[in-house]
Amino acid sequence: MLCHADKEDIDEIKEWSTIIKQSSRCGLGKTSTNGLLTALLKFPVEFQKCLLAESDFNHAFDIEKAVENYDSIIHEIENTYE
Amino acid sequence: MNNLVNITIDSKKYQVQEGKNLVDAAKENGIYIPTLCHFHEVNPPLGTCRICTVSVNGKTTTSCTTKVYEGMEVEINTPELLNTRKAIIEMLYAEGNHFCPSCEKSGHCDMQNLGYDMGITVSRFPHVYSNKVVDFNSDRMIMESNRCILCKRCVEEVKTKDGKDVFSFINRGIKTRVHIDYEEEAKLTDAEALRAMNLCPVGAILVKGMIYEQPFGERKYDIVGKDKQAPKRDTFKKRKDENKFIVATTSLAGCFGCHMSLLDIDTGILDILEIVELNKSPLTDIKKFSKRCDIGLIEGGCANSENIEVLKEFRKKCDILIAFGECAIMGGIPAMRNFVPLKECLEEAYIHGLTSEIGANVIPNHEDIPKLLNNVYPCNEIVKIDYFIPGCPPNANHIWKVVKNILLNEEYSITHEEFKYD
Repeated sequence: MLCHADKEDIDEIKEWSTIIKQSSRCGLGKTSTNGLLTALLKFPVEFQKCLLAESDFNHAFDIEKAVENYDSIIHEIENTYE
Repeated sequence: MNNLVNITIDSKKYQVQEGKNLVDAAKENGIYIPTLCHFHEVNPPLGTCRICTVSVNGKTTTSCTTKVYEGMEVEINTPELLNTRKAIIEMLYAEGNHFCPSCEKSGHCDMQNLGYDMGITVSRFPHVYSNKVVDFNSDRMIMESNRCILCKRCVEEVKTKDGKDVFSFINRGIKTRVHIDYEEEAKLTDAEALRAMNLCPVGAILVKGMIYEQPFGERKYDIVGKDKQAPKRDTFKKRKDENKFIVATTSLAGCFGCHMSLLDIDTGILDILEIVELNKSPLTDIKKFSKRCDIGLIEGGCANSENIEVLKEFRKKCDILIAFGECAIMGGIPAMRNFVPLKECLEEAYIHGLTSEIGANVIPNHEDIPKLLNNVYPCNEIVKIDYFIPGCPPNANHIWKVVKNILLNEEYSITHEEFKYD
């Protein structure tokens, strides 16, 4: 488990689900969030397990991953011209 | 067809003609329902944009596809529905690549106007930055799919004299885009081509050479919104202190234009310095935080590892973070590189570029040089940002009004003139 979320994210899931339900054109969209919402309703403990304390930082953002392309480009160039 | 029926809108009773479109029926009675895909000529209505979502007898539906009938109970302006409609516009902004400051139709754009109207400062959804096709092949028109919201207005409405379609949807799912039939397009008269451009609720259909006809500030919605006031914020952070408030500012991946704008307040800066002390900021040239700050002002998005570090440092050292300017809010102009692979960007700049030396084969890199990120990120995707001031750049008075309001806990209002992007 990555465990990047905090409590606010759960509230966001619920809020966004309502928006999808209200604004979908067809039944498929209107029910598309039911799976996740039911899981949240029936297994709150499982979700609580992997929540972080509320924080001002987005933990899902991984700086190592975000500079991956740059690193590989530089690596490639160094290997070619050395 | 002249039967009158009784309907209830937001618990007020109205009499309207039976079978009339709900959007039109509401409009007749002075009630505004925002729409993008709907306009009076299309029949049957399209119902593609979903912005006219209202509640009819307890169920949400689009009002443009609803016909009025006896005993109908409609809710339009409940907080929940207002929020849903705002979210739909935010989704459109997050999905397309809407760089308003560089758009030809800015000030003429229905979607931008709705954004102002609903008081959108930032999208609550992460930006997609998908690479979309810009089609210059037609002799007269440009199809800018970056801005297209797939409302289908042009597909339904623009036809040649022989009744053939000029625009059509191609591909499926997220790859759907509007394509111009070049042959049929050539048959349109100039007036019809202009009509197609004006029909588009955003800036996706452009006629070459007609794009900057009207100067900024004199366009349709600039004039309509002249005395419009931006919605007031209802949350305040209370702070009272004997000492001066401490403010820090920084520019990440931006052009420093927003900092220039900060200085545009002229002698007003003297009043501000009565209550505010600047700490780390390019204005004071203090490089490191020497104390905890009340407010941090951030210009620009995050393009390299140093930007991320500075931003996180600001979050740690400041109580309230304010992102000001387009780049900090949605990446802005630097984020236009998100559509091109990083490798191509670097090669173009340092190896194949016109100004690079012949035989150059080095992309600058050193442990002291910050690393470029794969994408340019808006600040709120990295840390939590408390307030957003949109604009390119935001008006100086606007910025200081927001800062003063937050510090002194005062109410404030902004006129459309100050709030405008362009």
